[in-house]
Amino acid sequence: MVKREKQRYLGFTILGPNKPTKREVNNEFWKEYTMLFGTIGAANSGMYLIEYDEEEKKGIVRIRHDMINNLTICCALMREINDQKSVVHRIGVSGTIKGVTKKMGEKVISEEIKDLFK
Amino acid sequence: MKGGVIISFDVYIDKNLFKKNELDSIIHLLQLFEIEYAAINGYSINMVRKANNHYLEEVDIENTPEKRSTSASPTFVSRITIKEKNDRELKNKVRNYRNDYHIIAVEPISENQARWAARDGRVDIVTCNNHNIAIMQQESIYSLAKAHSKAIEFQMKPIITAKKSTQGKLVRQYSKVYSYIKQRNVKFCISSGAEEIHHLKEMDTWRTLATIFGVEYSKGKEAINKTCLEIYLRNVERLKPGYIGEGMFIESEEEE
Repeated sequence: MVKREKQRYLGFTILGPNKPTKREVNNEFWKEYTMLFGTIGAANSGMYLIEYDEEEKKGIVRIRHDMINNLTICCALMREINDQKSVVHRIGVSGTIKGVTKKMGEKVISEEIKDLFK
Repeated sequence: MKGGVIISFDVYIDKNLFKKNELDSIIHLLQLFEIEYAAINGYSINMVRKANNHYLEEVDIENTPEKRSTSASPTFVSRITIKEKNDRELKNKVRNYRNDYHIIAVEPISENQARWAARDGRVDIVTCNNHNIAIMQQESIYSLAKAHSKAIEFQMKPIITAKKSTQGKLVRQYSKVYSYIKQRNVKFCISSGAEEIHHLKEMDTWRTLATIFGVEYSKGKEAINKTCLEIYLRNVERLKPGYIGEGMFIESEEEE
């Protein structure tokens, strides 16, 4: 019997002046991950951008549970999205979508903070 | 929380960050990143006291974790990083600034300076960043740092801001320095080295990022809270009026 892979869900938010689309965010994650851990590493990670709200600039990425640290490193090293300076802030990590959504709901980013990054 | 309370202590945030933006917004940002202690490079003790109106005497070593976890505002700590070409100037500055700052860090630009900083009693931290990483690859520095219980600071800003072509090289150099630290069991701390808003991140992210140059996850936790807090609390004690030795104070006649 094939053992089901354990997954982790990482909630993130993008702080910056631009509003990137889901496709652009997805490409940026893959680009950064591939640059750091190589094509094989990226292929084995099972990374998938599950959800992304373009207005709120919040999203959820799924990854294999043993590679969650790699994804955190990726988030830390991402400096630009669509050639504009942006910061990817990790909000929380959970084993379920429900858990990570709850964490994202708890952390509200004020307008003052958003203004700092404009 | 797994493995006890983590106190996020960012040992280096540049004061220019506070000049350009309003203090309230920065405090919000620090709260978002769950930074509980922020050492502001270039802020003296008096400036720090004015900035957050938080009196340092309130900090107690025993109930600090509980107190900080419930408190909303971060505690600001004063810090200065001294970088001088001239050795004599460097020594003079360290002597002059000792009573004005909680944390004194030296960014050595020569091997002599690095060795001196590692053994001088007034220096708390020897900084390691992209500018002096080549100098810091001397084993003798770490023997001295161990003997005189100095901490080596890794600034993470160079890693995130470096060009992709030099990033790998820098990580390799950092890992070499960390191997010396690990061999000799020297204290070390991790700081953001933030000079602008985009360099600020939560301390847990730095801890994870440090794993790329070989820092174990558990050691990273110590580097973020324990080492920095120890230095700070020791110096708060030292800077109290009438301090003459560990746990010994002279009571002034005026108070009586």
